[in-house]
Amino acid sequence: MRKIFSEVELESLRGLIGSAFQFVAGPGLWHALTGSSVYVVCDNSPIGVQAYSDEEEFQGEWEDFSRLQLTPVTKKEVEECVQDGFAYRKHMGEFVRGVFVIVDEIFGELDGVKNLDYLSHSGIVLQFDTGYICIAKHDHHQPVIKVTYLDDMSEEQMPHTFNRFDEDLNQKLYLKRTLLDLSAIG
Amino acid sequence: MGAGSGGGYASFGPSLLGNVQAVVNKYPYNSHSGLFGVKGNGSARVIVSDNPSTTAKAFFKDLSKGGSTSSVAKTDPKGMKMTKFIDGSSVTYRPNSKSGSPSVNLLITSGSKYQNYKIHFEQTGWMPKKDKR
Repeated sequence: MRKIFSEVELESLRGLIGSAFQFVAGPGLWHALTGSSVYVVCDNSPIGVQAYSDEEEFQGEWEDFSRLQLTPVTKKEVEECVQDGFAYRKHMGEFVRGVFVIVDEIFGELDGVKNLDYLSHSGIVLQFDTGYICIAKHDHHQPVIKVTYLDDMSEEQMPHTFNRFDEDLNQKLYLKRTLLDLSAIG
Repeated sequence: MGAGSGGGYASFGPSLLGNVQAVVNKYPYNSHSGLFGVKGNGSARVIVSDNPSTTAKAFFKDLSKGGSTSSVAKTDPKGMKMTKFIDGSSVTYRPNSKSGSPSVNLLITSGSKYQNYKIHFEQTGWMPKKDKR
C-alpha cells in the first residue's frame, strides 16, 4: 500500500526551494494548527496540501488510510484565510533553504507472515535559516494535517504520526521513518 | 495502539470532548474504556441499531455541535464530511464505507486526552466475525 506524492507533486515541492516564504494558512486553521488542508504561500504560486482518507483492507477489515495530495489554491481562497485570521507568518521573509518529505514505512507480520507493507509520504518539512515548519499527517487514518514549528529535525522534535494498528502476540509492526531531501533529487 | 493520552491544547467553548460527554447516555458507551459502541472486527467499534444510516447521521450531528463542518475535500465525490473544533479535535463522517455501513471517526485532542477510533454503524442482529487468527 502506497500513500505517496507523485513525481509531479515532488517537483512542485522542490520548486519551493529558494523562494521567499510568506505564511501558512488554511480554512479553519485555528491555534491548534490542524485542518484537512494547509496552504503554503511563498512569493510564487501558493501550494495546497490536502489530506484525504481512503478505505483499504487490513486484517480482513476496511480501515481508513490517510494520504496527502497537492492541490491548486486560488488567490481568493488564500485571501479568505487571511481575512478569517487563519494565516501564520512565523519565518515570513526568510528563504526556503530546503524541503524534505517525511517517509514512513510500516511493515506488519501476522504469525511471521507479512500482512502489511505500507509506505506513506506523511508530510513535508520546510527548512529556513532560523527553524523549520513541518506540515504532516496527524495520523495514518484521519484526513487531518497538523502544522508544527521545529527548531531542528531531530527525532525528538519531529511530530509523531499516530496509528491505530493493533499489535499483539501474533501481530507485529515495524516502523521506520526517513527524510527525503528534495534538493538531492531531480 | 489507538486510544491513549498525550499533550494538546485546552480550550473553552464547544468541544468534541464536551459533545461526547453530553451524549454518553444517548448512544452505547463503555465508561470503562471511554469509547462508544462495542468491539467490532479489527480495531473499529460498532454501534448497532434498526436504522444504521439514521443513527450515524444523528451521532455525527450530535458530536458536531459548535464545530465547523465541511466536506473533507472541495471535490469529494463520496460525501465524506468533517467537523473541526478549535482544540484540533475532529469528527469525520463517511455515509458509505466499503464494509457497507456508515462510519464515524473520532479524533479527540483536548487537554491531556487523546483518542482516535472508528465506529461502524450496523444493523440490529450484527455479530462480530470469528477471529480468523
